[in-house]
Amino acid sequence: MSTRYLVAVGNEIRKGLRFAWSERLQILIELPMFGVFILLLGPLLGQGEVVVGGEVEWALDSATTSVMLVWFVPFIFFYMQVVKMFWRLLGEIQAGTIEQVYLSPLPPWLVAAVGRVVAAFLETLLVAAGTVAIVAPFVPIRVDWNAAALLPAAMIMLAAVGVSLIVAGATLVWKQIQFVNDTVLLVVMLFSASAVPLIDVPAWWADASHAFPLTDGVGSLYTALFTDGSVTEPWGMGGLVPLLVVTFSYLAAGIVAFGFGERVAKRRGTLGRY
Amino acid sequence: MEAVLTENPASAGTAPGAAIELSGLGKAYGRGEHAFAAVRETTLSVPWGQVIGLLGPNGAGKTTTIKMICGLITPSTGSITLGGYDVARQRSHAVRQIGAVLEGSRNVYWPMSAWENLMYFGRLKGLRGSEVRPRARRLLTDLGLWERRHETVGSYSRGMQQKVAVAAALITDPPIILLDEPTLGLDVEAARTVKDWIAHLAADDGKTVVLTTHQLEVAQELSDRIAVIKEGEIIADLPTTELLARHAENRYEIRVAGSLDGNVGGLPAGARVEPDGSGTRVLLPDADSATVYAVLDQLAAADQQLVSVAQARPSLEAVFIRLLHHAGAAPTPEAGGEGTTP
Repeated sequence: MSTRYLVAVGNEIRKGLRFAWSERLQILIELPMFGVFILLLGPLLGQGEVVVGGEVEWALDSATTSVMLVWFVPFIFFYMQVVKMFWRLLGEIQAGTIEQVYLSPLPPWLVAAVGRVVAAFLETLLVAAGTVAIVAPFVPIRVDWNAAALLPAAMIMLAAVGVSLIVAGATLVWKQIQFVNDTVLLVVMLFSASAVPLIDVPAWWADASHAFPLTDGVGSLYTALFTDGSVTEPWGMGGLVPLLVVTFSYLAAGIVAFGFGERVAKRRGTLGRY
Repeated sequence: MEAVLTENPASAGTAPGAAIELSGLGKAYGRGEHAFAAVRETTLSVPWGQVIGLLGPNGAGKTTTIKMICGLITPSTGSITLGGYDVARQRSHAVRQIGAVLEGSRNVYWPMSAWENLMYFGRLKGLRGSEVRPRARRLLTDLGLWERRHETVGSYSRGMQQKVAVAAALITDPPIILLDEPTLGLDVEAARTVKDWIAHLAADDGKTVVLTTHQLEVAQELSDRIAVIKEGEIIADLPTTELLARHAENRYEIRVAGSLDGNVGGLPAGARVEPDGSGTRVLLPDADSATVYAVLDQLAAADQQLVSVAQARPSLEAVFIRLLHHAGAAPTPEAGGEGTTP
């Protein structure tokens, strides 16, 4: 990659951070919600049968809550990357600046995604830290940091970039796809939960969940941070093979889908039209 | 068609050949019964350093043409080269040749300051910060925005925002500038500033400029060449002076020193004689050359001292309206003044 490209990529990162900073109030408003979500959901996990029987023991458990966080933080990144990429792209289309961005010699998918990834990463760090700060006074969080977690973390980021590019490609063509976007988030959240052993899901659910972007990443994170297992085990939930296959499939699909959406929008003449 | 219509030299550092080449360019939207041709078989060659005005009514295809040149809309037929680079096949090289201010767009980020915008767009096109800074400083100073460079563009007036958009288009010093309605919505003073700046770009910096505007006096003042588009087709394409000359009316004005004092008795029907300061003006509203010569002979015979003879030139607006209503007889250089498309 030439210096020219690196400069432009750094430029997009700077812009992404600039816009993330301009949304700091929104992030601050959202922040407590994530903590409240963990505090409310934590006591219910693994108590499906007693919940049905109407006898919930409303107590927070350190191990359960810690695992929940490891499931939830990747989802926050996914949310930050996919949802905010959609809204930001839509904003650029509405404003018309998208057309100026397309006058860059850089590949447009790179321009669209790169700045958002770094901004989403930093926003996720902030939100994760804030969530821990809110939850920790109620229940201790115990996660044994392990460098092996970097592999699933990187794969989660790449998969999220892939999905965000699919959504971005669709946005270039159809513009108003908020409902599709929200549905994708919900489905990914539900299916990725199957990677957390606290949650019992039917076998078909567990099998199907491998096809979704976060599931094996979360499974691999769980393996690295809470078990003695290895993230290089090829098969099983969070196995290396499904993790790599799914991640790179989503990334490739994202690049293809973005290019396709871009070609359709240019052919229709609607790239900058809302 | 290779219609090299001006003698402007290519600006320094630009590639040989034409700055912009459109060859058989067409764009159709929709399919079947609903198909609509926005641009039809347009062929145009713009040499380096020329200012060409693309004029036409709303929906004529001007903006579609500009956006196809930018690579923002994919043509249905034909090809575009910018500085010799094919927009479809060599996009990254081609877009380095251009800066654009597009109609109806913000063009720049309103939540960012003018300075941040220029730095962003400079880097977006691959310049280093150290290369962008001095140029951004010069542009903002020249456009009178330096003192307010750190204020967000959203807080600027419409005219100032448009100046930032022009500056952003120029930040990499591209040889080709595309301006789609650059003075639209500006007040008189702001429009004048932008217009002067465009004139400066062409005259002093040797930029190739493609300009679309509904303000025909702006086009007439700035453009070396005018192409009139109607329903997606170029119906006239000539140097501005030649276009106006070809549409000159058979209306002549003869000025003589002193008064006529009844010395000319046989003026043609409809002629008017008016005092003009210390002299006299003879207006011939519908006269061919023979009639003009006959009147001049009479004046000479009466020992009237001739001051000037001039054929009345129509405004570009008058020519434009005439062309739109009589598209079949539109002039192009290749057709010797009687063609329909170049």
